[in-house]
Amino acid sequence: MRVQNVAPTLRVSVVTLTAAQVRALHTTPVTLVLGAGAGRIVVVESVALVANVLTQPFQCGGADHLDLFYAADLTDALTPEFVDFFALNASSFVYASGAIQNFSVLQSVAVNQAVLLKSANDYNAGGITASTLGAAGTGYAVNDTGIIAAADSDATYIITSVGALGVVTGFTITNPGNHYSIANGVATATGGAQPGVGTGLTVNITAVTQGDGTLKVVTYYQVVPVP
Amino acid sequence: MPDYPENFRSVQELLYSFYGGRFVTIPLETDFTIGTTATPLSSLAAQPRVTRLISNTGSSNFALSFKSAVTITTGIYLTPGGTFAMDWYYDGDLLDRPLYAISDAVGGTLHMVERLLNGA
Repeated sequence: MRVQNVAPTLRVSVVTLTAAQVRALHTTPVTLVLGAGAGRIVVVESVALVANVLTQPFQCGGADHLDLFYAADLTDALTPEFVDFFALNASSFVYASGAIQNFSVLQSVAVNQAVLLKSANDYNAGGITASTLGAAGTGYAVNDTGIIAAADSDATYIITSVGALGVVTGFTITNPGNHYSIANGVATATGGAQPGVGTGLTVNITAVTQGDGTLKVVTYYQVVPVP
Repeated sequence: MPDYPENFRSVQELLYSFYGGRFVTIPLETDFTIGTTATPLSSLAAQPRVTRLISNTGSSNFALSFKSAVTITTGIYLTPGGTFAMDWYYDGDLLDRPLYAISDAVGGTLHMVERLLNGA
């Protein structure tokens, strides 16, 4: 007879999220590890995130952080938050050791619970790719310039046509900017090469760039029986 | 020319030469889900067993024993991922004795692979 026992097994789960899954990661969290069955808790030892960005980075319009949670408790993160993980706007990597951030949780929210990845906001923001005129404002002149005053306030416009009293009838986005969300009536501010004296122009952002690529999540974990 | 015969052309030729007879076997695999009650590791084997390998595929600990009253502290301890192996050469006819298993939690799982003499 031969008996061979091994050291406690460190299990691993590898989940690769599609771009669509990443973009909806707040609305639809993704399961990283299934529940381990009655009387068992999945204990996350560490997790690594590997983002592979293709042509467009993932951007969100608000707080940017990713967290691991038990499915029954979307409050107590299982690792330190991954803050601004996508802020490099390029393929990037991060890892963290597991530790419940709120010191402890009830067994009832941990036993036989899947481990999920969830973001603070969906990654559905980006540079402006399509827009229409909102409020036309007044006092503008052709070639007046300014910024779209939202998100990173780095998208810029130029007035291409005006009507009586300098009412804007046409404009072009000259820099798409970053972290913009689809919205109507977004304010502008004059500035740049020819600020002019116009006021009251707003734009309707109808489309923004969509992050592409994938996010691979490697979760190292153990299963602990209870009690 | 070397003074040894041609190469063996199959494992069966090799076995025949080694044992002096044919040695054809087949595998039989069985999965068990066992809790905190000692349970026999029964199989549907219809032929003599020459090897038995048991792997703890779950997350609970097991104890194995030839005693039907085995408890988690009175058997051969098998942790998750551990293996227990027996074969005819070292263990002889113990291979045909009933073997019992008990887990320290409900839902423990074992996978057993038996090697059986074919046609015996």
